[in-house]
Amino acid sequence: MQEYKNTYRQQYSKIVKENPILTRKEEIRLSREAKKGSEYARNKLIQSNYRLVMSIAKRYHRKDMDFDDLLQESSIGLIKAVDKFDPELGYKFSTYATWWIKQAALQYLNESASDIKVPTHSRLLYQKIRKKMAELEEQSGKSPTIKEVAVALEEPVKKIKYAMKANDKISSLDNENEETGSTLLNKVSDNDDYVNPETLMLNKELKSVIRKSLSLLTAKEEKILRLRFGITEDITDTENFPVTNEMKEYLND
Amino acid sequence: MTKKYVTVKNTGLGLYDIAKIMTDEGDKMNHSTVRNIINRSFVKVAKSITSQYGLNYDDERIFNIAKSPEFQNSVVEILSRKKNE
Repeated sequence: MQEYKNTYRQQYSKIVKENPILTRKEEIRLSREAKKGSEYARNKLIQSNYRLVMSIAKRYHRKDMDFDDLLQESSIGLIKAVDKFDPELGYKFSTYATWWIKQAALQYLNESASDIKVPTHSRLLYQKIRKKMAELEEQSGKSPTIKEVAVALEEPVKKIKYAMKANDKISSLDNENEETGSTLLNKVSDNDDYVNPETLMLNKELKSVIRKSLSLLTAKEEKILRLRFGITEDITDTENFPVTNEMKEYLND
Repeated sequence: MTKKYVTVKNTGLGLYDIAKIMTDEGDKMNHSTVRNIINRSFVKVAKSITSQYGLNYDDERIFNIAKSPEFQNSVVEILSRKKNE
């Protein structure tokens, strides 16, 4: 696998070396031909701009990330740029392609940053929030409130809360505690108070069904059931729920 | 012999006491009527629940459900919370 990856990276470098930067005229000519359906022109345009892809990918690369994957994902941005570029508008291809490549790279970063996919705009907002929080903390010497951050960023409090919640760190239930060696899942299931959510939901549903059915009882039937099972709201309410003489004496004591 | 009575552990009144209270309040009845009303009430609730779950049970099966202590405890528990909510 490593061998394959090295070969792949080398292949990219080889393509970059073999395809020098295009002149403005060449760019326009190839783009026009590509628009007409020339596969050669399209490929040439892509290969000649791999240099740009490598440059942007290097900028976004992090230690915990596979550079080859980032490179490939960024290349998808380049391909999109080639397919959508309009040479008649007058600007350079690299100006246009940079945004597509950055977008593809950022999307990959976002998707690989967490096990749960969070929308890119939310993750970008979260970065802004963290930066702003650090700034405010430095200024005032204390941790800012969400409201203060929202005011500083000119965003609604609700949006800030959502972004913070969505980008919160997650822990795997199977992660072992270094000290105790137990997992979070063990901890949860060992807890006596733990109730399976499915059971809880079924119980809730059953209770709701019974409640609905109880409404079918007549006042007389309900009263007899209450008397039979000693169901009263107030134990001293002997007027609505009469009790035996022995019980009356007991209550009076 | 099949047991015909609905029996649960309870802290309420006996059938005779209930019959007396109901009679004093104008609903003349004896202990058997009280027992029948209790049985009928549980059967009514059981029938409604099974139909809500789309189960087409015959009367004997519904009566078996109605007389089971688990079922009666659930009904009593919810009935005891009903007025407090």
